[in-house]
Amino acid sequence: MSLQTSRLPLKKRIRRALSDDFMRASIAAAQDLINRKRQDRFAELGDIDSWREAAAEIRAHTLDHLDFYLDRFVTQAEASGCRVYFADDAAEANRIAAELLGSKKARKAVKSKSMVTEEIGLNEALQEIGVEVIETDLGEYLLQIDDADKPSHIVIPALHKDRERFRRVLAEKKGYSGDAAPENMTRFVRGILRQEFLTADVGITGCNFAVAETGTLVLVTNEGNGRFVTTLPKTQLVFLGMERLVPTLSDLDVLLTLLPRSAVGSRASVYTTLLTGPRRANELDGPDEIHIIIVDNGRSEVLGSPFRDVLRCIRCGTCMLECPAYRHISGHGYGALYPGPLGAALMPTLGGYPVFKEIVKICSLCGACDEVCPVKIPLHKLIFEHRRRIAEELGLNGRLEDGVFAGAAMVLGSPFIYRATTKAAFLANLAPRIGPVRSWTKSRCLMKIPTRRFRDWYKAHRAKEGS
Amino acid sequence: MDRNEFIRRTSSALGRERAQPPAWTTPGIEFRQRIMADRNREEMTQAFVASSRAVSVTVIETMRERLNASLAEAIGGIGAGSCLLADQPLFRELNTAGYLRAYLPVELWEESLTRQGAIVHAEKAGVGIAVADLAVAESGTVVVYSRSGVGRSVTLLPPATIYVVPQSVIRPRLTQVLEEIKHSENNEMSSSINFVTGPSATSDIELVRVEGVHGPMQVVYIIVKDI
Repeated sequence: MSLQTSRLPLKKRIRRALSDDFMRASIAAAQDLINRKRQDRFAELGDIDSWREAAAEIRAHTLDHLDFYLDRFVTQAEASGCRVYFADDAAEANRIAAELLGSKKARKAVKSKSMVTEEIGLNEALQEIGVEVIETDLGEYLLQIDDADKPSHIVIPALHKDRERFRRVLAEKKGYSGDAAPENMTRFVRGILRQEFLTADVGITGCNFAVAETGTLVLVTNEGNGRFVTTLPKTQLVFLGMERLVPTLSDLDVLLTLLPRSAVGSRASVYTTLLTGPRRANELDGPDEIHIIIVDNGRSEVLGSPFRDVLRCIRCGTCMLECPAYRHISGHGYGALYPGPLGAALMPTLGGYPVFKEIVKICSLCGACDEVCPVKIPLHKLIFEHRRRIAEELGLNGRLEDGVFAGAAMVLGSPFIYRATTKAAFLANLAPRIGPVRSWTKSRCLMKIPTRRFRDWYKAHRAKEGS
Repeated sequence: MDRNEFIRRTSSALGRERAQPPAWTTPGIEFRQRIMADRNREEMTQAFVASSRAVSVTVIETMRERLNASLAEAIGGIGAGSCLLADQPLFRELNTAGYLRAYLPVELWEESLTRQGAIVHAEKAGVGIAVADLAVAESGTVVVYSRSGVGRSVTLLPPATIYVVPQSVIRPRLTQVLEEIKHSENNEMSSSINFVTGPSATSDIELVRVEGVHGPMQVVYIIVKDI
């Protein structure tokens, strides 16, 4: 996978998503359930605004001094026995990983859910050199064996599929003979993946947070796969997006408090693992080696742009759960690795406007996401700024839109033309409903324009009253 | 790309030539420390019990002299046929391994084992038992440090885990726990510190909660009230 998850045009993607009733119902149910739980958890914390303010301050400060904290983290991680590599882009990150796994003669890698490895297309790159990469998050695994289907949410990736679909895939691909009860299918996958954990050469993880003062890697998971891939294989490979740092363990407190509450409405994820260096000489399990690949892939450019705030993101997915547009079209409608308001704000900065100029349109600028973001990213303002740039500076919206606005400027800029066109506006009632007008009138009524303008009526009315 | 170039480029994106150490005080530490600060030891323990039960943990309260018996009862409740015991001072003092061997086969996670041998023990055991280093009242979380007698596998591979939680290690929330971790043993962090909050769980299929995905399906906390 990479940044773009669908090559279909925007309207086709959206139409397809809108026609999937199961998916729409399950996204709506997930939004309602998790949003309610999140509100309960936030209420327990007391003054939630103070928490969000603190989290925003920590993330903003870290980004403002990212050079210092990166350097400090690398020093500490190396002191604890990790090896650290630096990748400018996806290709370099994949090359480093491939060389490393090649030198270990690795055949099989188990991976716990990681967005940055999706972003760089790691699975495909490693398959090319003959390393099998097995997703071990239940949802990701079920998508992987279903002909590498794409996730529709960053925390709950397989929300768009029903249990019967999973049963069929497990039966076809893995010989499962049980029913479609989630418990039974989960037990079956547990058995398969346990064997993979025990026999894999390499464990691959992302990293939720990296603590600069101690060189610690923090993994937040619920299923336990994050623990397995950092316990059994002898080599561990960590992909760290360069912005994932926090200065100290005290700062980590704030983020670990907000992340599980925001993401799934829990007080804590089932497992939070703090890893500092490979296993010590007197420990029997854990990796002998930890290799950390720090990935830029466009982030340093975002850091130096007016979009720096989007890098505060801690990948909780709350903005998606709150978004009215996401509710209807799910992650698939966005056609991007990171969907929802975060995707609309982030994707154009990572993947460029030519590819992602349309994603910023999937937003009504209602600002609901800004209100819940635990690190207070001004998401809708960033999305609006993308739109402004696309229209004003880059002129990427096409001739039709340029023409419409040039026409509007002409009409509104001259009292004479304004009077003439508004007087004749009712003639538009006769225009055929085709082209861009049709896509509007298909789902909405086009107002009938009266033959007499309001201001003409008002003038006459006043004259009558006065007399 | 090499380290210096990577950092230099980050500096330049931030509009400076090289990294400068910033002044920084973590925000909001006062209000974080205030949460649950007024609870006494017993109230804090009961908060821990309540939040643990809320995440499907079975909680047993006992005393030090009754710990071995409580362990045997808990193992019986789980229905485990064999157990893997962490090699920790408390269990040695109480001769827990000897006591439990009267009921079922017991393996110890001893430093003298080989890596492979230890993992096989963990894979075969019906329950893993370890003493928690710290616990969090707010969320029902236990914290275990990996170290010589306490492998990561002990609390991960067997289908059930029993954590012995001395009442004295229960803290109000993460704030205090992370502070203690920071100042732990000679300032050296353990290679793996695990925060565990209940049985392994997922909601990946139709948002239905299922317990026992990869990790333990059952989790028991035995709170020892006089240590």
